[in-house]
Amino acid sequence: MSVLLAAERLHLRHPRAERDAVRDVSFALHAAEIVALVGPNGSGKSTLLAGLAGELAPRSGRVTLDGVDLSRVPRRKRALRIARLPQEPACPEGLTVEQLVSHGRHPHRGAFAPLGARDRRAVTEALTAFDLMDLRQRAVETLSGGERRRAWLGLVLAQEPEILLLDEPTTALDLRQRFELLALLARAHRERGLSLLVSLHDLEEAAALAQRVAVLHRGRLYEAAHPEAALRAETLRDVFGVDARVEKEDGFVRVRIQGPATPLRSL
Amino acid sequence: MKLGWRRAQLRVLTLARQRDAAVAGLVLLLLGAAFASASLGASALAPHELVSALLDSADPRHAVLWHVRLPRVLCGALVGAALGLSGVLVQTAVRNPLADPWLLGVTAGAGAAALVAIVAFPEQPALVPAVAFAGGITPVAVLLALSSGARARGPLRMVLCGVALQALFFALVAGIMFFFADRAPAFAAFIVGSLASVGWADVRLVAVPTALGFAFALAAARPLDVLLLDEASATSLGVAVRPARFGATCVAALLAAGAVSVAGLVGFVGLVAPNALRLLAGPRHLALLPLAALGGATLVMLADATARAAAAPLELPVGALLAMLGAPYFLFLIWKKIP
Repeated sequence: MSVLLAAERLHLRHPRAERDAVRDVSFALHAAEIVALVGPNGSGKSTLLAGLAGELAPRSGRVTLDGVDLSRVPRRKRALRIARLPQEPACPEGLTVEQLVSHGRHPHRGAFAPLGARDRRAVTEALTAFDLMDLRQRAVETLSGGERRRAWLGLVLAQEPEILLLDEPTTALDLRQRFELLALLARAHRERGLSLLVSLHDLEEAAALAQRVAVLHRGRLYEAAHPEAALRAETLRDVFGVDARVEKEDGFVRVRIQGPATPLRSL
Repeated sequence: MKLGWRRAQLRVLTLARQRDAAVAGLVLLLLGAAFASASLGASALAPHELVSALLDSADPRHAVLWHVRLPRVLCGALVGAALGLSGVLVQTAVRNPLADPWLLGVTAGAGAAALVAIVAFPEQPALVPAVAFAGGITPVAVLLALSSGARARGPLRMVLCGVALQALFFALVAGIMFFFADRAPAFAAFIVGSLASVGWADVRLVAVPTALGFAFALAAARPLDVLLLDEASATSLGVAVRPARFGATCVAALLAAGAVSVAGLVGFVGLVAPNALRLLAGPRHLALLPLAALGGATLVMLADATARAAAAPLELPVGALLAMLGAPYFLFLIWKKIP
């Protein structure tokens, strides 16, 4: 597998922040790979995603895309290859689902070019992939939480990137919506060969979706390995501060939380 | 599924038809406002007299119409269009429908700078818009600098910044009024916003920045649409968010400066026109920009006609009238949009 997007000894800091939110992270996302990013709140998941998207300039270290420093890749070229969906995306009132998804074609179009046949096909495919055809004329703010999330995923899919960076796409969804969303993501990955880096709160979801799980702890990469290796009882205790048993059942990783781990072993 | 499709298509068609009808109504209103504005005043004319008097140079009223009324109507339309467009651009740049060149201090900045130019270079009226532009862009730069990074761009923060900057600029204006008390009447008309003494030179003065600003804004309609998404999504789509925001506000300042240079401190048009028409236009700039220009032009022309007719032969300042209309509308928007 070839390395597509990589962080090399990356340090990231938000403007005006006192400390680095991401510290000395080296990590590689390979072609057509799904990696789940897990870690407690404030461990630097969103910041790392912003850094890998080129939105936040490294304080030190670098991000590379196909070996080229990301800061040297022009914005539009970058947008053609990497799409990022933030945790709480926002769009103006009255924007329809179809208009929102069409925004995904922005980097593909010339300054004054109308939506071409290829753009329309990509939009239709994205609408179909996330089951949005019936909702296409609805205003985004009238949708339910799950529908809205699908509409935004339609946008990044219509962008036709190679790499998709998703920030907690299942947060605030109910159980069935989560299940459906993860199935849709897995299908998009299968059918298009997309590389996905998805931050998730639920460890079982992470293990079910991803080929590798990257664990962040206080801004540092604690571990990045296949799900069973990354999600050990020791990891859960050190990183999440809980005592847990990790089992494998019918091919799925099951995490049985037993209670808070006290005292917390310091690293 | 098939039936749902058909129904959705029909709904879109009806919506489009309603919108076309509304746009047509707005154009009619604009023409009516132009007509009213041209015929009302110290000597009122009936519509049929208007056309004949305008075309017949032998008519005794021809000179008044051609040299006083017509430039005034055109100035009103251009000032209104410029302020309406400026409002849309500022609202998009700060991603807040409650923004307005007046509230952000752009109008006050441009006005203070224009007054300085009038006092300092009385022989160079063409210099006024350029200096006003520089003054109008200052508060925008300050606001964008203050709302950078992780800090929230809430409406409160924005309006408070505007209040602070306005206080500064109005202090400057008051200082000029104090030291040049001999010219106070002319300045008073400027501060309250008035179209009472405009001529063809003023039409030319405001036409250039308005046309330029309109062209710029229309050309950037699609990036402006993307700017209305959150910052992370817009960046992910390849838009350079900061420069684009700054560019949009520069064009907004250019438009406001043009308007201020001929009409003085006219407020609230940039708030009222886009917000009243947003429901009709939808969130896309390609529709919103022309409609906001149309709405702003209609609003200012109607207000100017009313200002002349309401207390004839006395003339009310159009800026004051617009503020009386705009301030309650602003309160209404605050009530509706700020949680």
